[in-house]
This record gives sequence, C-alpha cells and structure tokens, in this order.
Amino acid sequence: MVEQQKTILVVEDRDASRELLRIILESAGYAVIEAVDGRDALEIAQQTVADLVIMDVYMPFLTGFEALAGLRLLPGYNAVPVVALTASAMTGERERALAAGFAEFLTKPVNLARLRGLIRELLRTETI
Amino acid sequence: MAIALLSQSHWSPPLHPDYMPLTSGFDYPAAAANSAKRFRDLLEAAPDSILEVEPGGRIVLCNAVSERIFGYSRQELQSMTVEDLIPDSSRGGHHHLREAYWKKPTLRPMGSGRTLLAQRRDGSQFPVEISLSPVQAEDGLHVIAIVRDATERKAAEEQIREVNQQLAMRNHDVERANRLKSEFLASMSHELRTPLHTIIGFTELLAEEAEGPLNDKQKRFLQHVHKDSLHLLALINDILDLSKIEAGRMDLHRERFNPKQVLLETLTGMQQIAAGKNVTLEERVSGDLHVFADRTRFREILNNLLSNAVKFTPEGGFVLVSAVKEGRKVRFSVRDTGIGIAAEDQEAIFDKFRQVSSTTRGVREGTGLGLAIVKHLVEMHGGNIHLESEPGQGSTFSFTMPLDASGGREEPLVLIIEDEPGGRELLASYLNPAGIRTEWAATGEQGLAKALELVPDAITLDLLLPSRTGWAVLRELTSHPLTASIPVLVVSVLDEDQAALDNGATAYLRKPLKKEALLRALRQHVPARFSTL
Repeated sequence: MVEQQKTILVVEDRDASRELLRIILESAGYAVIEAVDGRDALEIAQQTVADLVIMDVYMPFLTGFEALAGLRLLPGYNAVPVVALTASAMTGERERALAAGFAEFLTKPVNLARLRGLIRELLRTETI
Repeated sequence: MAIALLSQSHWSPPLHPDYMPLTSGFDYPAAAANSAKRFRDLLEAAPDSILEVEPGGRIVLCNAVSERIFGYSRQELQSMTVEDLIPDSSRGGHHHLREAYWKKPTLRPMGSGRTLLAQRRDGSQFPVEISLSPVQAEDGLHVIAIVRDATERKAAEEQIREVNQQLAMRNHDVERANRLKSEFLASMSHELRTPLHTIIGFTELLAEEAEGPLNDKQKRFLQHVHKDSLHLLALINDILDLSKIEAGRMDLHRERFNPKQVLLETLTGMQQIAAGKNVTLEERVSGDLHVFADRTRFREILNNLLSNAVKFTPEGGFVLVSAVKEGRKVRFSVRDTGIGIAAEDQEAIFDKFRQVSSTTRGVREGTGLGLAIVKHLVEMHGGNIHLESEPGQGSTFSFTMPLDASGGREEPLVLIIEDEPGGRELLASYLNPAGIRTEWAATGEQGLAKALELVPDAITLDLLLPSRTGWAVLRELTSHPLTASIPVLVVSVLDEDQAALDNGATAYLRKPLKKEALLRALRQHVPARFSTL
C-alpha cells in the first residue's frame, strides 16, 4: 500500500450495526476501531487518534452530541471529521447536528454507496 | 291597586297629543282618563324597573317591576330616594353624579363600561344597567331611570367566559396530546428504522458478493429480502408523514415560486425509469405562472402523481403534465395513457392503504399511502384533487394550487368577516383609501372558505356571526396549517379580550372601532405588509 492506511473510529451501541459498519469500512480498505458507546469512545480516543469518526447519535451514557463535545477537547481531535448516524427522521435534526459541528448527517438505513463516497471525500479533504 | 297607588303621586301624566283626536264634541275628561290608563298600562307592561326621580333624588313614580327587583313595596319606594337603592359602598358619591346629570340632562346610559350594582331591601346586591332620560314635570325637570336587572345577562356572560376558558384549556390538552403523539411517532420511527438499517445493509453486502460468490437462487432470495425491506422503509416514512399531517404537525412554508422549474426537475428525476419503459414524459406548462405554495410539498405531490403515472402506463405510452389558470388557482393535470381506473374504484383511491385491486393488477409496489398524502397536501393548500379515468383509456389526476398573481408587489389584502353590511363597509372605508384591498364574508362558513381560498395578509373577525360562531371560526383559522400564520384581529362589541387572545387572536379591537386604531393594529401585528400605512 502506497498510502498509509486510514483509521476510522466507529461508535455504535448496537452490535449488528457496528459489525455492518466495520465490514463496509474494512472492505473499503480502512482500519476500524470500535467503541460501544460514547464513554467508551472517549477512552479509546485518548490513546488513538483516528482519521475519522462515525457515531450514532442516540447511545447510552453519552449522546452523540455530548461525545462530540468531549472528543473536541482531546489532543489531536479538534479537526477530525465526525459523521453523525441516526435512525431519527425528525425535521430539524440534521440542522441541529450540523450546527453542533458534525461533518455530515447520515440517516439509517444507510445507503452503502453514499457512505463509501462520503468517507472517501472527507478523508481526501483531510490529506490535502 | 296600581291605579290607587298612582293617584298618590302629586303628578298625573301629561296628555299626549296623539291621544286627542281633534274632532268636534270631543270628550276631554273621558279622553284624559283613557290616556292616563294607557300610560299606566304601558308603565306596568315594561319589562324593566322604571323610576321617576325629582331633582332632590326622591322617587315619585315607579312600576311593578321596581317592587319586584328591589324588594320594596310601591309605598315604600315612593317615600325613598334613589340613594337608598345604591349599595352602601358607592352611595356617598351618588348625589354628585345626580347633580352632574342636571348640568347636561340628555338621554344616556349610566356608568358606561362599568358594572353598576343596586341593593335590594334585604341588603343583597345585583348588577344593573341604567338608562337616564329627562322629563318635564309640573315642578320642573325630573329624570326617568330605566333600571334593568342584569343578573341573568351577567350570569350568561360569566358562563360564556367559563366555557371559553374550558375551550382554551381543552385546546391546550389537545395540543399536548398532539405533541405526545408526534413524540411517540418520532421514537416509533426511530425504533423501526434501526433494525431495518442492518437488514438492508447486510443484504446489500451479501449481494455484492464480497464475502463469497452466490448462486442465482441465493441472489434471487436476497433480492426479495432487499426489495421488501425497502418497501417496509417506504411504508414507515409514509406513515410518519401521514401521521404528522393528521396530527396537524406538518407546517407549510409557503412562498412564491415558478412551478415549471420544480416540474422540470421532477421530470428529470423520473426520466430514467420512464425511458426504461419507453414511456414519453411531456410537459406543457407556461413559464410565466407563479404559485404561492410550499415548494417541497409541491414537489412531493408531483413526484407521487408522476411516479404513479409512469408505473401504471404500459410500454410505449406517454405522460403529459399541463397547467391552466382557474380563477385564483392554478390547476395542474397529470395525464397518462395507462390502464385507467374503474368508476367504482375512483372514490376509494384516495383512501389510506387502498390499492384498487382491479387497477393495480400486476403492479404491487407502492405503500397505498401516496395518494392519501397527496390529497392531504393539496387540501392543506386550500386546493382540491380530482380524478378522471376510464379503464383502458388512461387517467388524469388534476389538483389546484393557489395562484400568485401579485408579481410579488401586490397591495395587501384584508378579509373582513362580519355579518352586518354596515360594519363591513365601515372597515372597508377605513382600509381601501390606505391602499389595502378588502374582501368580505358574511358568515363563519363563508369566512373560512374565503380565508383558505385567498390567504389574506390579515383577517378581521366579528364574534357574533350567524351559522358558526366567531369563536369556532377563530379556532379553525388558527389551527389550519394554511391560515395559522395569518393574523386575526377580532373586532367585537363583546368584553372578551382575554378569551379571544387565549383562542389564538392576534389582537382584540373593541367596537366602535376608529380608523386609526385599526390601521395601528395592522401596522403593529403585520409590519411586513402594512408598515407603509
């Protein structure tokens, strides 16, 4: 591999969804670290600086919004793109997420092509 | 008895000229007696207490109703002063008022705007309405006080106030229930979409054969799973939409826009599927038309009707979209050369979950909610939707949207809901010279219909209307998505400021209403349209 492998932190409390994301991302050539909730994510993030974070919005202990705020305080995480992922379809949610600093807002069920395309784009912008 | 008592008065009623025919041989004493009797009959027949009071305040004449409402006998009353009928608390100042009256003795109501209290013999108090008029007596100017016991009216007013309060509370409860319902829907939708996310995701992963090759049968099975899970997702989305509409939680964001632009975008999105079936998509819509509607919802309506049309049109057919002006609306028609819909099924087609079996033969996708949603969206815009179809001859769905003829710079429009022609004309005469167009409605029903049709910049509403009360109209106006944002200025003689504001009125203006007060209210509450007044 010419380029160094990018690392993505997946924060998701549901096992099936977490595995789905891991497989999608690994098959696209990324290294994946899994966290089962926001608290777990903050602990992992203290040791590893990922290139991108995909995070469920509704999780136990810490919501995606709180976890995002926590991440931004950690060294190396002030500019890492964080993508929100949620099954909520209420109007205004997307605006709220973008305003809070999420790089993008994806709704479940996630469209595979869209997810792959988005990640490619976000990580390419990062390297430039 | 009445006659005997009257005779105790020093005063006998003057003879009215009308009672004295000017014929020769006229019997004056008989005529006088007759006239006096008629006067007394009139006095006793009056539904209100009538008191004649001399300048010193002494009661010199009264009728039977006076005895009844104050609880004194006639002899007693005629030896009392009016101050004796006034509650202790306000008695002190009354002689000043009485003296003031003599300075300008005209017919007028007493204490306008305030609730007057009178006191019965037993000390109990009751609300009264009093009208005063001067009368010439032998010993100078007397005053006739007509006193109406307002207990019942006040009680009725109190009752109306209570009912209004209850209604406001019920409104509040309904709103709360609606909010809970939509919170429930939000979480339901979340819970349903979460497992669908992994079902659809893993199905797609398997179908990509990244984890190993699949045989044809396995691929076909996966396609079934995939297709039905997408169907389930569409269903959940539509149910959420419909529930939002039915709970009144879907707001319209109306704006002026060119529908042709939206139509072209929608057609472009539809082109691929149509081309795959060799169905021709055409539009004949003028580029000059503008509508005043919610752009996103308009797109949704078009999308739904067009995808239905393409879906049910066989190979080689065509779908045509056209638009014509129809009064203050634009009627859009989506015509196809598809399988058509039998007359007996045409009514049911807008119902929820109704896919008419004979027409959907062979075509099973769709949620059965699309047309129900479309119908709601059209009606929320004050429009209607029609279907014309014959089996084998294709179908035409046509719907109306509000036309925007303003060119963006139209003079503001006020809808006057008022049953009295004089009242309407007065308001119009205030507004028209200020460059404001007015339309009017004489009943509540008519008012609601016009509000939906015209979507005026403001509405003035009388509360006392035939057919439907102003209250019902007020509640409908403030809860309908198309009219909820229109300021409603209640214009009434009633004393119901708070109740009206609680029920959603923007402002409360008391009749008689002055021109400047109306214009000021419009400037204050609808600055965007009336600031230049």
